Amino acid sequence: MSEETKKLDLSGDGGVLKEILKEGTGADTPNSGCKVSLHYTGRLVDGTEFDSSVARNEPFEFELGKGHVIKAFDMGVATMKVGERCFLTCASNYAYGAAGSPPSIPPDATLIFELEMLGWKGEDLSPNQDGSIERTILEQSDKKRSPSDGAFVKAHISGSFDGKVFEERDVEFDYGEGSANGIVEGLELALEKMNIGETSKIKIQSKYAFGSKGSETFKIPPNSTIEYTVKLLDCGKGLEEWKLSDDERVAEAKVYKEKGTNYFKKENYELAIKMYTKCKNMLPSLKDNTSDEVKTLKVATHSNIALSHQKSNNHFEAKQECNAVLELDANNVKALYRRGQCNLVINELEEALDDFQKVIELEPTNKAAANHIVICKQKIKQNKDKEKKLYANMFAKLAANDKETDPPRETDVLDQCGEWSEEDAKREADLTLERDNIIMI
Amino acid sequence: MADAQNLLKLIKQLLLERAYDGVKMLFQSPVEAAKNLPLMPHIALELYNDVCAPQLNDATNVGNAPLFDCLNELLKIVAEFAPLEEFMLELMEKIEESSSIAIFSAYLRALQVVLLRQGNNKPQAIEWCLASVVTRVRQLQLPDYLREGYDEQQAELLEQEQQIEQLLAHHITIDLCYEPLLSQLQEEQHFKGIFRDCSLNRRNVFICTLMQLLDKPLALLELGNAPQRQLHPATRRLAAPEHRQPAQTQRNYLLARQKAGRAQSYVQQVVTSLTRNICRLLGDPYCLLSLVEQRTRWKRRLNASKGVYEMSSHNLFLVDEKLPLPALGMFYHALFVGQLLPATAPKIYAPLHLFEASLYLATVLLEQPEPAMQHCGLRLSDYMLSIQLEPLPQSTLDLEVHKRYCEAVCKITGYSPQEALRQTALQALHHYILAFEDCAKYFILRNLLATLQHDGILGYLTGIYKDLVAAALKQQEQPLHEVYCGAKFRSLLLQCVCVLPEDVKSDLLLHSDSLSNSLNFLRFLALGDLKNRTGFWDVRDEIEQRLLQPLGTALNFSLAHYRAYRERVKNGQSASDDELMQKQLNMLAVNISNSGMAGEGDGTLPDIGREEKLEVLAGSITGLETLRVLYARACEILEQSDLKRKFLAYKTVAMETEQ
Repeated sequence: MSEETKKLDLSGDGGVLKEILKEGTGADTPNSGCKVSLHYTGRLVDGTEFDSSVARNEPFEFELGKGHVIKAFDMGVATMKVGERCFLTCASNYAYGAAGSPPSIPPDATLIFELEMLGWKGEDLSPNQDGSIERTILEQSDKKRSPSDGAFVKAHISGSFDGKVFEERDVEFDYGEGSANGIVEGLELALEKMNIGETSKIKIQSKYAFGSKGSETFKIPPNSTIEYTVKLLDCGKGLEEWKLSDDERVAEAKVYKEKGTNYFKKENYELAIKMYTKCKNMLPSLKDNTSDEVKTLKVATHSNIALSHQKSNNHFEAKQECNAVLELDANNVKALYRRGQCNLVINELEEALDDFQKVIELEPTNKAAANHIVICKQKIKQNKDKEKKLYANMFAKLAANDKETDPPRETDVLDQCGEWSEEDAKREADLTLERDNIIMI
Repeated sequence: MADAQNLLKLIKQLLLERAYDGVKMLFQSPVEAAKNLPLMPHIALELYNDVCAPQLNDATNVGNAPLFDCLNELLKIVAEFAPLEEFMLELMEKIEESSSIAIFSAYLRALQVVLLRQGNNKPQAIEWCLASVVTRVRQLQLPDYLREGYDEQQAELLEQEQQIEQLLAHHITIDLCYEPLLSQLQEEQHFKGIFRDCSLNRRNVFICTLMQLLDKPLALLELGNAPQRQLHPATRRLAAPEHRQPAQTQRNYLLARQKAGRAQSYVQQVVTSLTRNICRLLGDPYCLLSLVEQRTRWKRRLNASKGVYEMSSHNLFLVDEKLPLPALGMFYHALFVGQLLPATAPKIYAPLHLFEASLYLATVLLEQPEPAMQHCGLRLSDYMLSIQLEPLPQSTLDLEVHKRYCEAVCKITGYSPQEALRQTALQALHHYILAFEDCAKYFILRNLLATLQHDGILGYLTGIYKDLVAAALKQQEQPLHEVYCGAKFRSLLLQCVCVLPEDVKSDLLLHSDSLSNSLNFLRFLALGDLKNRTGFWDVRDEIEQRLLQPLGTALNFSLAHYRAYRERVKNGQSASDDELMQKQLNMLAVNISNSGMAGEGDGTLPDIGREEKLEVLAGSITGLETLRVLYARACEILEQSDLKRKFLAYKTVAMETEQ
């Protein structure tokens, strides 16, 4: 075999030639997007060394196939196996071109790299960089557009667990609303980092997939790592808020409100809150725009968020939203009523009573509020009774403890008072409650 | 223990007797040291609390320098033996509260000893210690003009300012303190297996701290820290992209550095030292660039239920508080613009990737409020453009950062109170547009012309498009690119260039820049494209209707109005006139503030007299008259060229008939 035939033509035009010096192990080669670690030494054809990771005494790492390095390098490294050593001869059009890279690389220079592949790993897309979402690019795209929040997304997804495909379908949704289409969080997070036309394999750990519950529909056991193969077919651009006039912002806000209401009707409160929040953020500030429409929309949005939080049993957050409504409209009956309900649940009974009483002031015929006032009063009374009992028991127990532990004293006050009855204890507790300056522990 | 207590008493007694050499002898004489040093762990903290802490202050430094020196030495010995964690906390507090460079230096020396003792253990503790140093530097008082902006002459005198001198002294002290620690770190392996370890460890903590030191306030001194280009801006502006060879540009940068012919300023020394130290620790100085996109393009979505918090990332370099982006921007500014790239830096990175990643950082710098940092942002983007081997592809414009960059540059160009900054930004915008391939140039120009409000910039952009069309028309033998002819050309011309925003009622003075450039463009097309290669002549009637006719009417109205107004002012004026005059004055105030001559910047001018009013009116009338001259000239050339075209067409037909 001649010298020339040993060299593999990677580019098809003789621009990137590879000559294997030592075969690697296994059959795998790195995919695009992988983080690759290798050693290299670059030389000019006259043997002048212009760059070397060996000289720096540390491996060189980069993300393969993303255009981070010169073309020849991306091409050559993608064909290497672990432990492989090779020479890569790169024509100038696959390296630094007609201009070169002064002062070390002259114009139109052919470069020879000696490479040694150390290994690679998938790209970590997880927010905490803990490997819970890992991407391997199967088909690279030269486009650079990715979905942004609110943008339209069209993709083909194929999910598999344990080597078996559990779902395969085309999906279309607005970014951020994937869960309404059965898209797991990890997949949606990964889609944000994909370019149009790209196909990738996404390995998702359970916390970003079906969690500790698993999926009955897909027969996926709890705490399972799943894999998706995704092709991002198309995506729009998110809204460019800075371009919008106040009227346009209001119009967009209404769209989000509508979406929120739809999700609310479907009892998807998480997305409803997300949409209502977007609506709230989209509306112009009341400092700049004092129109009634904006104010009404703001009030309605806060109110709807409050209701969604209530439905999701987040009563504290719901209360905050009611507060926001009441800041804008102090006499908003709905907000007062809802805040009352929240206060009732989080056991702020006096505040709840105030809220319902204010509702009655504003709407004397409001039966629901009147009923809640009764409930509040009952609860307040019950609470007081409970407290009384609690303190009574506490004192009784303390007394009993004292009896057990302390040796009988000659001048014991209790001896002089006689033994405390249940009634005495209650009276004492009442007195304690009446004294405001006593701190309850 | 008794021996230790005796030693403590002895030290105190010697100090009382001012026998400072005696104290030093206790630890410097080999015999005494062998006896005393083993006792130190028992009394180190007591010695610190009773002797060092109370007396190591400015009063001692000024009033009793020998005692201060002695305490300084004692503190260092204490640092070698005191319980680590307790003493670290003490040092952190003292460093943050240090009232002078002398106190700061004394405690920093002790911190150095402590950190050397700590080794690689407890990186979080090391991080907190180093954070106290950064906090101290950030707390230093600095002149207000550093934040407000200063000119190049002021920049040359920066280091004469006492507060800045103090800041630099702190930096130099820190540099000396860190040196042995960095040497120790350099010896250690920083790869976990075959991949870089980006978790919380001593090396990474040091990298982040050194980066933070490059951020404000040091960054505010960077205005003058740039080599002057050898290429004259005007030459560059005219130069076609193919003439902007990276080799030439880089050589120019290096030459400029040499030709500067002056010793490095302290600012440069500090920046150089910090940058080199960071490079020592990083190995590959580019390695943080690939994280920039990850951080700016895809914001981390915090989610408490999934344990995603601000600080929870396993990659330290992704946490904004640890590695602020402006600091990272200043690091790469120093590396690229300041030519501090180590000779061993990898040379296999693709220039387009370096440009895209740097553009994020340049944009972050441009979005900072301080002019000095905006200067650095402009220089960084400009330098990265200069190293491109090929025109930038349109696909890169899909990245959101380009929009942010354009917005930031245009904001500075239009509204910065600093004239030099406005000019640099305009040049940067020009270089940026020219660096792209033709379709991308068109895309940027079209979008900017459609979205910008600043009339001056709109006019300038029209000028750029005109130059591009002119260059394309010069290539007689090649067909025009689709963005310089046909539908795209017509759409830009009619929708963005030949526009009178409010028809006849438009404020011509407000739009005079863009209108002048539009008229120039029309005149150029009338003269230079007789063969109608661009398709200009196909829309001539539409241009007449959209621009020329209403503009003619508007010019007549406006001139008549201002002349009548001038007459009224000459003969006394009414209240409504005053209102109009105030509007005029406000416009003038904006112009003045834009040219960097604004006073307090309250936007109002005191009431002016009749003569001044007449002067303002005369200026307005002159402006309108200039515009009218341009208008008349454009119309005339359009007419002449149209006739010439008709004549040529007739001649061609005649020749064809003859044949």
